[in-house]
Amino acid sequence: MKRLLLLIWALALAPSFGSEGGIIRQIQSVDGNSVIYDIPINSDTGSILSFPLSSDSAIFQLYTTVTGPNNTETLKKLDEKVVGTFLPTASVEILSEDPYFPARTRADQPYGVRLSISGLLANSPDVAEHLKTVYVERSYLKYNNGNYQPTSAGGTYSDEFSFRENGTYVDNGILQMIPGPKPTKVAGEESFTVFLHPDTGTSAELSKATVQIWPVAEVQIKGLKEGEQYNSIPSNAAVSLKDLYPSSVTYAQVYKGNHAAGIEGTPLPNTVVAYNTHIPQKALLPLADLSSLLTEDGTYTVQVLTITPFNDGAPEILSHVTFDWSTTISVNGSITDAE
Amino acid sequence: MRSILHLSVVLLFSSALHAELPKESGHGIEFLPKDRSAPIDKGMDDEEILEQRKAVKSGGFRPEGSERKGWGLLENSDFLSMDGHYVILPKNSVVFVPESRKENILSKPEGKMLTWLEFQTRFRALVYPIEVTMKEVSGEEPIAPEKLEAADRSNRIVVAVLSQNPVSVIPAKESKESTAP
Repeated sequence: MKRLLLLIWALALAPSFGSEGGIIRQIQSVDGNSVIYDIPINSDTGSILSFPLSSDSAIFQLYTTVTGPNNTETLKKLDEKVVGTFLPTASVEILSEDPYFPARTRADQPYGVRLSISGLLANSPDVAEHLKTVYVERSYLKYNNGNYQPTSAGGTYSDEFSFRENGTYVDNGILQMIPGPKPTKVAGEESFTVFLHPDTGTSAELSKATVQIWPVAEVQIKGLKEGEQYNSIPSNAAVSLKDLYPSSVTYAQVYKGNHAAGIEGTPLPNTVVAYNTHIPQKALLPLADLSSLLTEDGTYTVQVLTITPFNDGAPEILSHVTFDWSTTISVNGSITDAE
Repeated sequence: MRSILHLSVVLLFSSALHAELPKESGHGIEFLPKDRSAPIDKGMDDEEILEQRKAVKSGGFRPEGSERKGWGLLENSDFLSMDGHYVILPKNSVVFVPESRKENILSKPEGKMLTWLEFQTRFRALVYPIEVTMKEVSGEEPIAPEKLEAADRSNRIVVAVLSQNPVSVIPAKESKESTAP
């Protein structure tokens, strides 16, 4: 057995590292037995002294203290890395039209994964067979559709991908597969984990990337009915919005004519709502200023549109209603002559 | 996902055409981008997504219980508790438990978590850390009897530490039958 002495483990901790501190857990195998060493950490940067390695490889896990329900604290794993001799290195990255970090996309949008592998020595007789193949696994975790927090409902897809050559591999047409009755309304995350040693019981992560998946927005136009005739806008006319994408601008526009895509109408100023945040949003916007934009009688269409990082930023029509506007007063009566 | 097997260099998701989205949240016409393009119909609906999924030919979900086994925190830890507090320690770092202290060993976390430093400071009467050597950790040598004898007299739970941090100890071959002093 080779003896590799690794004394300093430089920390490059994730930005979400908790103020309460955490641990780095070092795991390695000695003659088939696992030895675990917990190193406390209390700051975001610095160096710590690891356990001297006496095997070919070791796994380092980074845990931070998080506060959960009922104000209880627990440890949450932020990262895992395996180091050692003859180990390949791998990185996996999510590609989304939304440049936000952490990676995220919308349930109806494809996303991409870029996997880079180097250091695989598939033809070397000195390298153990289990170090010559890198595996990728895809998993999911569902979020609560009300508060968008992670639930315990998760799983692993049965497809597993193996790689025996170094290189960069890209797939840019991945559709989310999170289970749910309506695919456009699921909320959750999908992860791609690169790992080694699948045949030796316990595997070691080389890299992992996760993408958050948010539901498609839904809209209800209240107080206006398709095909109805109005001579005043009902006082309860409003747009009710749910699951607005965390980075989006949503608004209503009106124009004279029937519904069609591609028409740029007049925005209703009171309906413009913008979000730049981390979870989906909801809103209720009154159509109070609609009547001032209906300058003459005729057929009008109100469209509710949302602009997101997807579709090159083109406004997407979420909902629409077409109605007749008539302010001409017609009098039913007659004039008679006394003669 | 099948196409991830093919090496390719793809310029992905060009953002050159994006309308500039506001940097802040807010309400009002000033938040509407001025350079917006013509409206389009909304994206795929549920039926279209389901159709596309069929084309992917995914193998579905892995049967429950057949998941890849990783180095999970809980299954690779020992837990000590005292007065509603607990501490997470490496599996097999607790090398001796007096009979009267067995109830302080938990099978899963319960109560308020403390760090190792906090726990051993607060509950000095419960835990007795002993510094072990690399040879003792790897099982090349048994833990020196004098260390365990001192611990035994204190009626405390013995935790192996290396440079004051808790560490697993592989039982030495000649002492695998019993680690008790």
